[in-house]
Amino acid sequence: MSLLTVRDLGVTWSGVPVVHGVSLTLERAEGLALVGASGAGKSTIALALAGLLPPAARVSGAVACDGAIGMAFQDVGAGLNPVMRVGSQVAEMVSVPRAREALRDAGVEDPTAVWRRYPHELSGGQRQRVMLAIALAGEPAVLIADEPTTALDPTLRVAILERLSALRRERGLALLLITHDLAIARRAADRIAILSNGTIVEDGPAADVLAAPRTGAAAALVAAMPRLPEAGP
Amino acid sequence: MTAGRRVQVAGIAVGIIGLIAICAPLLAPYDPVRQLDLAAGRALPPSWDHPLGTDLFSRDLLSRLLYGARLSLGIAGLAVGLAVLLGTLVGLVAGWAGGWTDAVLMRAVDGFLAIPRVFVVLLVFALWDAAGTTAMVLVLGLTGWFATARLVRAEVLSLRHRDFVTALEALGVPPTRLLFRHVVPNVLAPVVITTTLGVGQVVLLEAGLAYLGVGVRPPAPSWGAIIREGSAALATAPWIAASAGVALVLTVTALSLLGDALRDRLDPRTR
Amino acid sequence: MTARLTIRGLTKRFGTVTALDGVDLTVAEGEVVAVIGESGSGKSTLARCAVGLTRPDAGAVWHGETDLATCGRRTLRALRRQAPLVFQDASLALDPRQRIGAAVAEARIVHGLPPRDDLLAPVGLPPDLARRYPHELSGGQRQRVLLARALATEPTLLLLDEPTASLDTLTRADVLALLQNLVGLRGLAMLLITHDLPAAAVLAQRLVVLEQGRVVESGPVASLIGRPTHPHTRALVAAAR
Repeated sequence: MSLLTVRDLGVTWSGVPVVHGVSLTLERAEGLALVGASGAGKSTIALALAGLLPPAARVSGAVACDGAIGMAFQDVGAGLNPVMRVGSQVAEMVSVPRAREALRDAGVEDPTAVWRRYPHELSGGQRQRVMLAIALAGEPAVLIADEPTTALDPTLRVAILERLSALRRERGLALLLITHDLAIARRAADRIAILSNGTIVEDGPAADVLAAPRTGAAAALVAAMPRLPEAGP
Repeated sequence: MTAGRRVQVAGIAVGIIGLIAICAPLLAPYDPVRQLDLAAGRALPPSWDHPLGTDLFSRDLLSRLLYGARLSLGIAGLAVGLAVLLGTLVGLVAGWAGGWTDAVLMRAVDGFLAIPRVFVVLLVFALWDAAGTTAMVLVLGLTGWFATARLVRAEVLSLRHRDFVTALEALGVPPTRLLFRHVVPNVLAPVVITTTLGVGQVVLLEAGLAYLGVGVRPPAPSWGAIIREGSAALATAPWIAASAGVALVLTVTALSLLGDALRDRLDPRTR
Repeated sequence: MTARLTIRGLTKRFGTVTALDGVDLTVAEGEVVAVIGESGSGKSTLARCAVGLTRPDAGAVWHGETDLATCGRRTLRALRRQAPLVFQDASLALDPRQRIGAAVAEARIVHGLPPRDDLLAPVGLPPDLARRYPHELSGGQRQRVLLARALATEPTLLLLDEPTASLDTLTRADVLALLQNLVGLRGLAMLLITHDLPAAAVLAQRLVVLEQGRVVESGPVASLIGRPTHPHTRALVAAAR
């Protein structure tokens, strides 16, 4: 029995199928990256799994999860309440000690310093960590992270992805990472699923998909992957 | 109803009223100031000859109402036009120049805002015997630009440092071109909204003043004046005050609805 | 031969924060130089100082033989024609009320150049896009429009501030290909300011690494990436692998 099982998920917006036939499984401590170009339907799937789509969207299919699902949103600006102190936002549904621990899990070294601040007083990286802390506060079994590193500097990106990998190792957290960048997927995931036009066209172990993509969509993403030229002589 | 649809409906309503106002001379069956049969023509109820009846001075009410539309809307339109022009210029200068210019202009605006508008009008009309329609337009215009100035200044301030303005500067676009071709069009939306709502307010204000006997001189058929005359005979000839009252309410409501609809229609797109 | 862009000892402070501290940089004719920095490195301030949008506290900026600090308004305008700065699309660098065609054509109008009707061609955009408004375009298309506008002035040096930051990988690949094309065809000099090291590696010949307002390392792309010496450079290279 997988930790998270999604069978034939479909989402229709005003009669238009945005996502169809999406099936995936996620095991404990596993990292699955859902990769696709913008508009492929990645965020829609994330929102559907978290049960956060508006009523206008019609969802079909089956989702089963052996534990809670936490979600870290893509748009950090919109995901945090601008007039509420950050600490209170993390502690919204949990105890204060648990909230502090969540901040530390997310990589905030000094939760006390950050606690009383408002979102706009924090750097982009700190805000992203707060967003993660909110998602982790409820001690979920599965964390869905939608583009957690997109707006960040490269070194910060690496730090956050490493933190997520550490959480997988140490806590057995299952990670569903949503991104348009295969380079990010390569860093953080064991398996990669390629999303194109609302459905999964290819999936497998990360190394396999990257080395030998079978579909056009996957091949295009692999070709476009930001990479450094191999070190010359 | 979508915002766009409401703009259309309210716009048509306002347009019709405006058209009526402009075409008053063509539509009115009688001369609005001509006193018809002084003996038998006083305060006649609505009939085929006089669709809205006659007033206490034997004048055809429909004609007076039509010309009144012209008068009231004309005064309001010109006054608000003047106010908006002044306010926009001051707001543009204050917002764009910043620094001392901005500080001085805005403190002046704050000072002027403290003076009650109605009292200024009353004062002018009390002191100056020959004051009439022109004076009304001027006074209302010169006392009505402050809110627009503040609004425009706020918009200009927020736009001044927007990235697209910086990008244009980096391209070599000179400041005057930046101001008039890029900042002003983006400021126009709130100005259009306040103008529309402003006209409604001034129509009401002018009617109120005319009701008090201040403003346009008789026998000019300002709606407020008609209501004043009609309120003396409310029991015996209610149609006099009622018709002008209804016309006033319909006009101001149409203008307010248009302003509101414009606000909904224009704002989301720019944000 | 004088370099297209020469920056010497550029220093800028904002209150107690030192954004730039003695930065040296040159871009030769036809050369592509990339300034690599993360947030807080001072790269945006560097871009603004390079085109005269911000006045430095110390140091000098020369475009060819012209010193930015002493040139008059007319010369500054001519400089902006020669060396336009292209902002990142994410900041919505286009007037939302102006149609694309007019936005691009404005670049020529402002500098007194005769109008042309093929201004969208060099960036691979169809001419019928000219009637659209910015919000009707995708992020990648808007980035191309910004490039088209900069190219419209027939510049000799193109300054780009984070041209790939807000794009998804497929669009990014397209824009990079376009930029490579432009460099190849027109022999344009380019100053690329970015944190995207792989993009810099594709386009640039030389790298300048900026950290907290200081140049910590600079040199040919291949050697900086293959054998980085400064710890910050090493961290950036590691993050990009």
